[in-house]
Amino acid sequence: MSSRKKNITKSYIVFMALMFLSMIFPIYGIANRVEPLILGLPFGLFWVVLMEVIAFFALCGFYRYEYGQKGERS
Amino acid sequence: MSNWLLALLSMLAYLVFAFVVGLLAGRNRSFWSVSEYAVADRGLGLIVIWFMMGGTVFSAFSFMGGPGMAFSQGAAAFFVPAYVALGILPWYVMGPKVGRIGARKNFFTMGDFLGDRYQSRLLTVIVGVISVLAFIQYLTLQIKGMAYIFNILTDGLIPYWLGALLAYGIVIAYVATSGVRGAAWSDVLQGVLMLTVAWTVGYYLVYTLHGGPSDMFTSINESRPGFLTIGQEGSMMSPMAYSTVLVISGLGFMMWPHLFTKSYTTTEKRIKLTTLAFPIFGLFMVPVLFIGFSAIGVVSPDAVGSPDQILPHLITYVLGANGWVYGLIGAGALAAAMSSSDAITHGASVSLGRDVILPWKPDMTERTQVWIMRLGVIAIGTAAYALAIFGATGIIALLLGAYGAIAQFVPSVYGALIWRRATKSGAIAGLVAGIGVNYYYQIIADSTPLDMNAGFVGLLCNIAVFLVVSLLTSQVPRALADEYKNA
Repeated sequence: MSSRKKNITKSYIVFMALMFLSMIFPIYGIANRVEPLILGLPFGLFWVVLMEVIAFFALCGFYRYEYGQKGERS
Repeated sequence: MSNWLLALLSMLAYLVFAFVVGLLAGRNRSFWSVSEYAVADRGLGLIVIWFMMGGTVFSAFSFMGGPGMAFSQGAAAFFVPAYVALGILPWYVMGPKVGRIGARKNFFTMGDFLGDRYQSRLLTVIVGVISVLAFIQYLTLQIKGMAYIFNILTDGLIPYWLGALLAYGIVIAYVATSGVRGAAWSDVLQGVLMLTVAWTVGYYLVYTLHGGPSDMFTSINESRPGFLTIGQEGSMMSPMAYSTVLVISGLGFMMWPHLFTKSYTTTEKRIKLTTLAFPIFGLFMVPVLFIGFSAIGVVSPDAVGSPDQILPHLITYVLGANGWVYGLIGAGALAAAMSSSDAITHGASVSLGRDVILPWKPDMTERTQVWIMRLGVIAIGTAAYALAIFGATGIIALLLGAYGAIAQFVPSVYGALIWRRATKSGAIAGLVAGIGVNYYYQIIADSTPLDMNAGFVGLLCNIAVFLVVSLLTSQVPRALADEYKNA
């Protein structure tokens, strides 16, 4: 395994741990309320949606970093 | 035309279509190859793999159980979109590793993988047996979902047993003939259909019954304070219960053998692209929850036999006027249940053939193996069908129950990939401890320590036993452990 790859794996694991933590207590406690309603959603549900959007962009980032130069690896 | 007739016709039309797509998928492929039947010769395309993974998430659980959970338990249902997004995340790093090892050593199942790493045929069989049992439970739930839909939407004209038989019979037929490709291609069709239906119906209900999501949630919050939060006065779930069920479902997700083995079916790049798309699948689940929330204050909890029936109930008694909606929902819900059933039936047949039966007679020819897997489809299908028709438990309890046991594979699988010192005795002892504790708290005990999820308590015991026993027993050959760690 190349060192570049190892670094990705490490930062990916950190990212994953943060995602899990953001969805469970105690951190989820910040979002555990109804007001304010955002996009019609109770704040607790909006938080989940927000984290998913963040996860999506973070994953795009990881993917671009690895496969940015096209056709480098398949 | 009356509603039930319209519903019946569209569901039948859909079934015929799904059947044809499933059968065509296996055309021109070698019928007698284990590799083709089990992992499509390791060459599934991106769109197909995407829908196949997604389709298994959008199951009868999401269509029936998700709204049911929102209706009866409020904020606890937020766990559904959350776990979908979390569950796939580990696959980005774990999937390509497993795929490389699998391609090198010609693996098809999770039992192959663990049995080889820990040098234990017993472990292969244990994994196979647990998987097949959990699959049957999971299938039972899908079949019940299909039966509800047929029964309620046709005004009781199609009885339970017949609805289930029609929908599931077709799944069995195309899985037995076309293998993983049949399951994958019909999932593309089903995925598109059910996403359309979920969003249309979710928003339609919210706007017709409440005038929009904001008004709906505001009025729920006024009439039932605490219902839309976790662990407060009036909430239905404690923070500990919520957090642990989310962790166990998120970690356990990729341990489902039918998802785990998808690592063998495609390339590293496609695995990563699939992971990337998954949080979006989580977002797709939100309108599905709307269906359940929209029923609060409209349907009295006593009016439905079980919360899982809330969707068909709403359609029949609240939306009664729209014939076409009927048919669309019927087809969409069937699609959701079928796209999970096919992948699970397929996974179960491969586990049965490779992990449970093959270890007893390792010199079996490839042709015999394929035969066993195809017959396994029918055997497992029949067992699940019988359980669905004659047994009775709530859908969510069933899924979470099976989940608890499946998540117990976590230490052995990750141990194989990251810890050289992990041993056969450690893996087996941990697994047995985890499953034992899980079942104890789920079935025998009335409550769990600190209100933690039963599977989570099992996992903690499992990890402890796995670590201690591994350190006390002798290692597998160093070269083998290295091969797994460095793959």
